[in-house]
Amino acid sequence: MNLVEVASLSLSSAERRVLSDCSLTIRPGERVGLVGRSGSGKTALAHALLGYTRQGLARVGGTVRVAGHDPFSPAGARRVRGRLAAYLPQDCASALPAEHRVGWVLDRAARRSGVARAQLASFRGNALERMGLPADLARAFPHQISGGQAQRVALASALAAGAELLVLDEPTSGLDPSTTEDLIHLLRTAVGHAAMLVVSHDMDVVDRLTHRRIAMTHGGLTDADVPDRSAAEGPSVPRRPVEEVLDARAVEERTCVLRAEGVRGGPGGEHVLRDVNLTLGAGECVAVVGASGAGKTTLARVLAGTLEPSGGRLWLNGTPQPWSVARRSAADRLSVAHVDQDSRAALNPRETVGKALERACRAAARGGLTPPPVAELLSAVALPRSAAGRRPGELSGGERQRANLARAVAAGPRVLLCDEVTASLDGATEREVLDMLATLREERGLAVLLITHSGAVAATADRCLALVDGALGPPATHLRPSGCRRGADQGVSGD
Amino acid sequence: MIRFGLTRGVTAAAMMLLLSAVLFFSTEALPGDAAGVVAGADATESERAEIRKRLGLDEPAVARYVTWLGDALTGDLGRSSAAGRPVAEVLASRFGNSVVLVGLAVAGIAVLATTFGLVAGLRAGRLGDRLLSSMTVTLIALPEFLLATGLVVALAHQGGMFPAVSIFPPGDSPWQHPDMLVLPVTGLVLGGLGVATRLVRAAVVSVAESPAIEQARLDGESGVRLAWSYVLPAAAAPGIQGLAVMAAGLLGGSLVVETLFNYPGVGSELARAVTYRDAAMVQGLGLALAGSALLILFVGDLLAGLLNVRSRPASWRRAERGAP
Repeated sequence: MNLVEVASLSLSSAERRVLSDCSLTIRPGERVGLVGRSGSGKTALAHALLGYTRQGLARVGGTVRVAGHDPFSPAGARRVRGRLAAYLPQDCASALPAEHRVGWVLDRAARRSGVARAQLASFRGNALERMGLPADLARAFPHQISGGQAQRVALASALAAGAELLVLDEPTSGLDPSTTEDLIHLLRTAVGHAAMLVVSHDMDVVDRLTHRRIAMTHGGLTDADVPDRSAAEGPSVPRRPVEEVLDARAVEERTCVLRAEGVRGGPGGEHVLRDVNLTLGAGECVAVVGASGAGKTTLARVLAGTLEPSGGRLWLNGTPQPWSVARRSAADRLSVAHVDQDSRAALNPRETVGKALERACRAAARGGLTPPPVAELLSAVALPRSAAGRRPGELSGGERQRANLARAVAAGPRVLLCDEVTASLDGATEREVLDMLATLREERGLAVLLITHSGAVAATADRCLALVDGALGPPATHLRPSGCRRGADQGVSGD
Repeated sequence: MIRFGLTRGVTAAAMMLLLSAVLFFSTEALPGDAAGVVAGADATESERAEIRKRLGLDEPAVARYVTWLGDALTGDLGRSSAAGRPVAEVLASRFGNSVVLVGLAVAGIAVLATTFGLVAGLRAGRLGDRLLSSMTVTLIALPEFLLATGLVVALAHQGGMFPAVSIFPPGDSPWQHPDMLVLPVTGLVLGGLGVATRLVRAAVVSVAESPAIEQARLDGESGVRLAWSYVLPAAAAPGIQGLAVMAAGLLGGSLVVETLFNYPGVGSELARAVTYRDAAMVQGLGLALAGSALLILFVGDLLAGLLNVRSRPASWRRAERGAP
């Protein structure tokens, strides 16, 4: 008998069809990959396996059976959710209940699967050990653990509940290469006989974790046994030939739009950054790579002015600037745009994307710039025109990230600080977004700081720097992507 | 967290000073004074002047404010110009009664508002939410005295279940007469329930949209378990602050209810003092009410801070970690 049987499932929102006529079977223990472009309906299908639809979505046809139970019926949902099937969300850290300790979360999962109260403690210890997590993590609150740990905790609680089907939504998005390796190893060894549906835009991850792969395009499923390599290939933004890459002197001659010297500090007075020196010339793109927790996001927040460092100096367009964004002038505030990694937190959940973009355009107009129309902004980040009428909660993770990017671009900045903007995008969409950045750099002389963990994305930059031990330097050889040959000899600060 | 507590404490003290000044000078600015009341309607201007001098009312207002504030700090709130009793003595005998009344009402509101707020917030936009929301809006729209009068008519006069007035012998504690507490407490609960429910509902709605609640639903949590273990802890901090604002407001609301039921609390005493132009009494009782309101808001902020796992004091967290 098949573990999962989805027959001609269709989901609709008020204005469009989200899933149309999807059929899918998964045998017990089978591992299936679900690939597709950002916003194609992958998460909606993954939710539907547990009988869940987000607000505004409704099932308009078809059936779902998990081990014979209908998860859309209340009785079936009780059997399936958190028992037969477990769902691991894209952002595990924010999906853990913030007010409860990790141990409590694991205990709840064990209780759901019927473990007796007396055995909870030993059960919890085993679950943590199996995931390679320290035992005292049980007493930590979710905000005290890292994203990678949160994911392992979610996995541990899924396994603690004895799930026969694991649904993993973008398990590797936002993880650096070494953490991704660890996770893949863990999923291949520690999961046992549970079946898996791996939703991902990363073909490589899907190929290594699953037996077969299905693809989703515009809400419809197609068997993708013939590998669709076009989406798997890395971004193909024309790399600048080596001779075209400007040398250090030329960088200095170019108008320097942002210069930071001796930046040190971090959130809560921690010294994540020790001595960071950075210059960004007009039209230049600098990639910053580094392991999780190296301080990449901290650096972006410091430069954006939302986190005040304990020391260092900053110049924008040649004039010294205060660190705090509140004390910068209106024009200087507009000239630096920050695209945060957490696009859910960055966008107002009550405001439609169109409204948010219009607001940013008005800000640009007040600053004497002529912003492009909203429709053009949307198409520049490869979002459909209809996205303007939707709220952030009605967009997929990748779409939200692009909406956030479009808003930053709308304000007509001179410096764009991009924090993992392509982390949850499929290859084709990632390419479109990087193309757009390249065009903006050429046309308007926009300087881009590209924080990324992907070597292929870093390779599209003019220079590549690694954040190690709180300072920026040339990337280590094993981390250095092929396009970053000049990183070392271009120096760090450029002045 | 400790720094937060200290800052808030200092702010509250400064606020108290400002309120005391507003209270003192606004009672001063009111037309008529105690001299007029004590001397009676037929007194001549010279008799009034003499009484003013005896009561110390001829000194400049600022000097009297400083003296009054200094005395208040030592616990001496002056003497009632109408009855001659020390204000502090009246306050001591009435304050406890008011605390019992408002405390019971706040407890009732907390339980009911949490239940209704959770039910409505988790079903936002559906039938149950719309029914509860219309009910709360109606409660907010109805003036407190109308609600209380309605209660008296329905439960005391028609039903005859509870006494219509809550007068008990002085010196008795209200606990000795629980039947007399029912109507005043119900009146206060109905008065504050609407606003409190809306505050809790708003907090619950924003929590219910969070990824953590979506994940809990995907994990198969539902009903009471979802509400109690997942939604309530996340909504508790804003909920408590909402309740604190409401409780501080109830202190003022109790004036109407206490007067209506003749309940021997601070509110009814304050209403009487205003009638008799008893400035010392109004100032003393007003100061006590303002102080209590500030204290409630301060405690609400502290509790909300302690409920937030991110801002809990580190020493407390360590102590918890050490526990088996």
